[in-house]
Amino acid sequence: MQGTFMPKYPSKDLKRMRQDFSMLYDKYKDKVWGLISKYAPAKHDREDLFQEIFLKVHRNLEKFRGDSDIGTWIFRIAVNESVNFGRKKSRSFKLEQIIERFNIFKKVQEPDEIQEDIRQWAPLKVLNEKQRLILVMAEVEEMKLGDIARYMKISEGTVKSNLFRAKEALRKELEKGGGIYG
Amino acid sequence: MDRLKEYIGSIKSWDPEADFGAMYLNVLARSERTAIFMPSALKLSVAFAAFFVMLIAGFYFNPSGTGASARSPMAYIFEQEAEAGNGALSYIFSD
Repeated sequence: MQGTFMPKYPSKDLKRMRQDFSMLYDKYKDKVWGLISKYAPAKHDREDLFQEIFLKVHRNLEKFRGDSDIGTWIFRIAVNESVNFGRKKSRSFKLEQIIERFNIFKKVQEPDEIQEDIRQWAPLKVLNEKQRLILVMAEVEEMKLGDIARYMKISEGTVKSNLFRAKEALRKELEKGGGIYG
Repeated sequence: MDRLKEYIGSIKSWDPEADFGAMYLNVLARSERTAIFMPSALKLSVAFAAFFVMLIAGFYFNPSGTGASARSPMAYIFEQEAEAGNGALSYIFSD
């Protein structure tokens, strides 16, 4: 794919931009969805995150110079947005805990289906955003370590060590009895 | 079977449905809406700089002359300073 797609918009041609974006959306939507649905499993989160990623792709498409593979560029955006999203989410989670502690608002009981999801995804909370993303990319989405390193702009060695630490932490958490296997 | 493998397998098989059509339209609407109404940072900076220059110019040269003085209060202050021999702008007002 390298070098085959080099959009240039000297006159900000909206029609052409739409066509290119539509093509990219069709090509990468499943891969991006696969990644973020496992990274951010809650329905509203994964839909928000997915749209944020493609919104960024659309807004920055005219600036894409074609000096890297467009797929790598899109995945880099997906990775950055996911990590930022995870950070924001963990901040709001802390706020929710404070609110819950002080009983500021009455907690709404989640339906059984969502309760089940929460139990299934709970063990992943022991990992930080980077580790969770690497684990999802490497183990769940079965991406190559070299590709992950390129998307995250880190060395392959760093990917390997983070993956090792993530697996160890997750294994310990599962053995402790976290999640649906407890 | 290793619990980790079993757990990862359960995540892997989880495949939520996505309404790609609706999300596509949403992305386009959001992106193009802001493209029309939201000026770029550069345009915004230029507009702000132009406004600032006009504001300062307004203080120096009050063209309406509707007040008791033909000049703005700021120009009056500069004039007073210049007459007293102070300030970098004294040459403008000196005879």
